[in-house]
Amino acid sequence: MPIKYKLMFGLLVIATMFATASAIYRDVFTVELAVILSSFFALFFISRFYFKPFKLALDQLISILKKAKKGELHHRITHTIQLREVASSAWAVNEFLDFVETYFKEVKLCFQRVNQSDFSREARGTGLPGDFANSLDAINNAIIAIKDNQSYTEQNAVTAQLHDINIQHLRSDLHNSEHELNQIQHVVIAVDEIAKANCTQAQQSHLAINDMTQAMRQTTDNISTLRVKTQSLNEASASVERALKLITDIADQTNLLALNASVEAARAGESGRGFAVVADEVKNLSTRTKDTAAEVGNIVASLRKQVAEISSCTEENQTLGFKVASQLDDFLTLFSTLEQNAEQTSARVAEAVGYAGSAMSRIAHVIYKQNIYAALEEIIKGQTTTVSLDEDETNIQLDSRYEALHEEFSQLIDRYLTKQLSDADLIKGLERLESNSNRLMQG
Amino acid sequence: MLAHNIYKNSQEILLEADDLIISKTDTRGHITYANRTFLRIADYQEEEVLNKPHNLIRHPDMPRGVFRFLWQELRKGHEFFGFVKNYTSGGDYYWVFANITPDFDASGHLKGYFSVRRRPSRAAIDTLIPIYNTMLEIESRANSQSAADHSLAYLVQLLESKSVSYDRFVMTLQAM
Repeated sequence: MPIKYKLMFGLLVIATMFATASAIYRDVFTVELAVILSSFFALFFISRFYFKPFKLALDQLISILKKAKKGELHHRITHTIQLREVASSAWAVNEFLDFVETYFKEVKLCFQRVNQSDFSREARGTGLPGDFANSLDAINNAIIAIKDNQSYTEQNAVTAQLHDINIQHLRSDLHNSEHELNQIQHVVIAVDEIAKANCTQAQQSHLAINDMTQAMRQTTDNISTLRVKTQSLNEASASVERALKLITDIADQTNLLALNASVEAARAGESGRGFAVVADEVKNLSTRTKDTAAEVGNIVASLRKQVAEISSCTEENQTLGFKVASQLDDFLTLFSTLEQNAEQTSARVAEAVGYAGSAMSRIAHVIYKQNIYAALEEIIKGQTTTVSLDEDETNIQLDSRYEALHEEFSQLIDRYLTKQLSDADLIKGLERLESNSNRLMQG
Repeated sequence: MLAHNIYKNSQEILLEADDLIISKTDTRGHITYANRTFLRIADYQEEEVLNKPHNLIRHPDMPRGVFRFLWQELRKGHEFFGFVKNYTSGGDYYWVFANITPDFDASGHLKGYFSVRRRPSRAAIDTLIPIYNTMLEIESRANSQSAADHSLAYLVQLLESKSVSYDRFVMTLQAM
């Protein structure tokens, strides 16, 4: 009880005693006054006795509620037996504080563990009424969400690391592919040159074979002529032989005539002596004629033998000539095919060069995009970027459509870096450009 | 103590699902507050328990090793969860799932302990009784000074063989 009430009570008691004393002293102390005074005292003591537990309870309740107001939830009213009828009120306050304290303890203890990434200790609402238990259930749900979030964040960290590794390798892989493609293109171009050279050579060979065929035809013609000529030579030889036979016959008859003349000369005797000399000379002449004819006959026979040899040779040559001519024809067909093949090869190689070129453009484009994303990621993470945004690192001559797209990418990034675009705008812009890129790369 | 004499006729008192037994002790383990649920179930008047040691309700079926562990945890500033069998004043008993926490004032000084006890899962009790019995057996064979250490060592080893922490073990049991 506050001191001012105690003082007032004290003053009242002193005043009453003083009034009683003065009444006795002045002899005005009447029975009525005694009754009033004694009832007053009786009432005072009875009320003090009767109201004591109430006062006690009230004092404790007020004290405990004040402490609770200061955040001290651990105080309770004890020794409730003294409070008699008011005990149940005291218990009601105690139990309310029990709930509040248990509630806060549960919250504190489970969050202490959550802070250490231990999500196994849930807040227990069992035994707590209504909103207390509901609130703890809500906290448990929140803890599950925090746990999910943490594992999601951890997963994210892992996937981000995976992504980093992937991107780093993707870029170097793409560079390698680009390099290889470049080499393939060089090789293909070299093959194209060889194919073209083959084509030229095949054409030249074609012409040469043509010339050779021509020459061969001439040769076989000549051989034919030669055969005819040899034939007539042969025939001429036969005429000569016939003429020689005639000469030999004439020589034989002349010889016979000379013999007859000799016989006649002998018969004529001396007078025929001169004639006999002439007859001898004619006989010698016919013998020489016959010898000469035989000699010529031998020469002609030898000539005929040689002509026959030439004839068989020529015949062989002609057969050979026909064979060569037919082979040359085959060659001609072959070289013609070769020439066509070389032309086709060249056309195919040109196609391959085209494919390699467009594949290189695509890879250069992909590398460009990868560089953009890497640079953006570094910028967003607050790192100074090591990736060049504007320059193509490659020396590839890009398709103008890719160049236009790269220009759009570059402008988008510039606008983002100069804060003209929000994060969401950036993403939207990138998605739009990616769909353009997709169309371009497929088409 | 009276309780021992009527131990044989001891009956189990079952807690209701929303019963919440709350008690507080000072740093020495003397009761400074017991709520009405405590008084109703343990069958005491408030004045009978105030300033009495909390082991007033300790049941002889409880291994000392469990309490050894309880105090180890509380001294480390940790909370303790456990299944505990308690005595009523009349010699009956009741099982609880207890949660005891050290209480610190604003400047971090220990000012006592706060204990909340709830209805335990029946499956948990069935699982624990054989374990507690083994611990009691170990304690009865050892000398009284090292008894609690021995039975606690058994419990620790048992949990290690199951690769589970004590906390996870009791929480899983309570959830059964």
